Amino acid sequence: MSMNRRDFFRNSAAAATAAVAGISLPGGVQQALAATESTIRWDKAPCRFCGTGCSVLVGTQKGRVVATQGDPDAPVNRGLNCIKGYFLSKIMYGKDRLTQPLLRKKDGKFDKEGEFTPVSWDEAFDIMAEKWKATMKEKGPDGVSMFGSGQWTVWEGYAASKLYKAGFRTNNIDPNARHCMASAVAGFIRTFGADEPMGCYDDLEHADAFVLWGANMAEMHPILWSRLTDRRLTAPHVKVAVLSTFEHRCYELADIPMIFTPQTDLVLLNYIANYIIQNDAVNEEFVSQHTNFRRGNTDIGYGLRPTDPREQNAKNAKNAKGSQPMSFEEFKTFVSEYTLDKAHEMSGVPKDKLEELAKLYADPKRKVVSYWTMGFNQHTRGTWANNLMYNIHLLTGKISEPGNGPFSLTGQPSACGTAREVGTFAHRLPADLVVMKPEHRAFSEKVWKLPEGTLPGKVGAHAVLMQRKLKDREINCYWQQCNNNMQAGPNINEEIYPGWRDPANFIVVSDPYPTVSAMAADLILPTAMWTEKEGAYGNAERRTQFWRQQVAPPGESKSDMWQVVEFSKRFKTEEVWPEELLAKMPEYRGKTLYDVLYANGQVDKYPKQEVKDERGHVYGNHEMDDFGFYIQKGLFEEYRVFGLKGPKKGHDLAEFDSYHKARGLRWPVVDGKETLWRYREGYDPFVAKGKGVEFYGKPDGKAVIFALPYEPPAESPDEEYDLWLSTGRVLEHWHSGSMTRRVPELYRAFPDAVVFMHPEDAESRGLKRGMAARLETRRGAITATIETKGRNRPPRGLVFVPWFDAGRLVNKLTLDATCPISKEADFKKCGVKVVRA
Amino acid sequence: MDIVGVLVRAKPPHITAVKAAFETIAGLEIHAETSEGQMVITLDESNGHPADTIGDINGIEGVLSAAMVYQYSEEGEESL
Repeated sequence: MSMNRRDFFRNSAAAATAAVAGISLPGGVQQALAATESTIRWDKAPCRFCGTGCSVLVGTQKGRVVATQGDPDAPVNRGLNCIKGYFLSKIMYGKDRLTQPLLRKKDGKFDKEGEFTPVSWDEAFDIMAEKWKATMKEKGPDGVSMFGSGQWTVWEGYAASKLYKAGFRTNNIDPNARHCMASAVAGFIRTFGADEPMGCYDDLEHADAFVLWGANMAEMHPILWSRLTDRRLTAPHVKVAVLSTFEHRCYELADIPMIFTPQTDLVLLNYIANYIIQNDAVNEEFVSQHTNFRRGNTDIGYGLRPTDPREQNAKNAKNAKGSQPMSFEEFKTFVSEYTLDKAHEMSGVPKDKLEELAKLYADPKRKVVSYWTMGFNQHTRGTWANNLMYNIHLLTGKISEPGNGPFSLTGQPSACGTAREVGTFAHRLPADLVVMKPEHRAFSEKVWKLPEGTLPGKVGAHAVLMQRKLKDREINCYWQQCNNNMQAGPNINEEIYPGWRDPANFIVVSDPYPTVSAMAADLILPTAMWTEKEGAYGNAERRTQFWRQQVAPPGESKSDMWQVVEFSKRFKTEEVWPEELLAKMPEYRGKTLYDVLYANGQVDKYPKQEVKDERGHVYGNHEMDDFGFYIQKGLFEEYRVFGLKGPKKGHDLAEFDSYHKARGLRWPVVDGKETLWRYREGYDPFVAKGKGVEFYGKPDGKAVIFALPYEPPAESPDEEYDLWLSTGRVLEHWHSGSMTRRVPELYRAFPDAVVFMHPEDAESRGLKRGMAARLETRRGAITATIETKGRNRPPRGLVFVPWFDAGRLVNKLTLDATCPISKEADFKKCGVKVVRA
Repeated sequence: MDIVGVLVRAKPPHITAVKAAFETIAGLEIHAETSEGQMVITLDESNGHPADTIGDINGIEGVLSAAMVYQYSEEGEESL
């Protein structure tokens, strides 16, 4: 019987879908799947989008990705994908894909006001090197900077960090992950002395209650949400509590739905701690053996410019991180003011709901997982919110075991694997090391075979500060890779755009598409994306996943790693290092940074080879072709030494080759075995025998319970700007939309960003659903369409605007206030006025 | 040609209503279902764009999740 091609692929789609659900279909499921095998080559890759880390099978035909399916062998997603995964096969084929370097030129020469003109890579690197060298000569190493990404592959981040910290000798490198989970990092380090969650996604099948604190998992982490939904529906005793400042999709499943006034999450967290103590629900054995109590400094400011009165009036703006030891009794007194009455009055949440929530945590028989994303992290007290969350899990001992634990979800595919683990932040080095500690710098210099004193100890400019320094002409060269900060950063009008277009500064943006950032740059470099290169990502549960290059990058585009390593060839050590440093290792005289950093006997250790899978398929590797050695392997194996031999234990990764075979492995990986729950004996090989639990990130093995109060936000609604403005994402678009907005179908699914608003707030302003409105803050204005129905339903007094829409830059409105500890901006709270357009 | 396989999970009391809603969507085919509310469906572009349709499905009352499992697209069409 002849089957037409459409029927054939429809049957394949049904067969694959049924197989994932364990549902049998009439006819041969396997035959349909096996038949596609002959025409399509399938190979695994982690999804390009969020931090969940779903594995997908990528189907390639005639050098083009034509199909994807959820990877049935993947423990994370078990064959499922969300709507964004569906578009993976299309994101590389947008019509406006950039395929050659573009430089602003007039009369054949670079000109800040010139038109974008195609140039060769040589010409692009020539002008870059000229600008970098001139700036470093005039201002020293801290005149140059780089803004990278939690979407960088592991070796892209590693190569870039090494070029800046070791080569150029500046810590002015930071990832866009600063906007995303810096508060989670600071919270982990402060409480546990080690970054990243102790638990893993397996908790989803073990918990008796889930509490969502400022996380819209149904839209932002749909696959984890489907696992949570399955648990809730198949185990009737399970409870789901959802907290947010507006109602969203997760509320459909909520047993305990709660809407609270912005910033009062700090009150609710302290109320729960108080409830636990008042109702004798403290796990005393756990608390006495595994925790210390400390009182954190208060009145710490808002990370604004030092000239802002809010900084000048803050007592501890310069010592935000400080804390002093305290006793349990003192802590008990501290939280005692957070009564049920007070929590209700400040948050607006009904008392019965608050008690129900507190009881979930207090009940010793109920295992609880807490999830959060941007609601906690993008917060001027984001580090505190994270610390206060840990307080609750530590007071009850509900941590580091199946079904019990606090878990920060991430928004980017390698926020953990690259930004955090490789340490591409302005203060970090690989494997939890930091630039401030001389012993950490010394260890890194040894691994990198560098003269003593190469690495600078001064913390570099973080994301927000980097933009301020560009505006102030303290930084003159800026290279942005793999993100769209002109759309994603806060307060664009006042603090980002002016620095970029200042003739004193030279701005380079590497991107596959002409984003808002690219169009505001001086030089655009075309980037190979996702499966156009061999890569590695690390997801939110510490799982490191690899993929092979599936297709060749279009035109002259090259991976970010290639760009960084190739650029290093333009610098002689004498041009960037002082004489006293060279005198310590004279053999580096006359060498390029490429020779010293990458062709160093370690990174170039693995010769060029054929990349082949178990079935005999052969894959390309454009960087290996160009450099002549297996550079991904060399970079990873050198990086791995930090985890294996570094001063901070528990960061061990497996050998390079093993990740090409496994569906990812959760670190620490010891003797080939991954770790599911850290800090607990029996699960974590680094816990000393007989200890039971050991928070070994801290020298005494104990986690810290912090006394931290409620403090108001940097800006609240007032008479003129009378509504709260919260920004965020939607299901169909990922972040700034640079990739998903290139797919016509997805564009139509949610064509333009709207203002989600309460119908009565709209009515009182003479507005109706579908009408155009003008949104205005102290910093800027945009117009957008009013939406009073649909998936997000704010209470009176708050509006929500997604930020994916390049035509409506909501970040012209936001304030560049940050958590003073984590330096992460608060995109969730400022005052806005909404009027008829 | 644009074909997707989608696994839908609906609240069991809403299954009948969800199925009725599905019948109004051109290009949607139900291949299998379970009493727990799981449904195997395929979509093609005959109702416009699958992404729009998936958005619509997510919006149907009683639908808890609609997850993509398989997607194939190519320019033009030919028989095997």
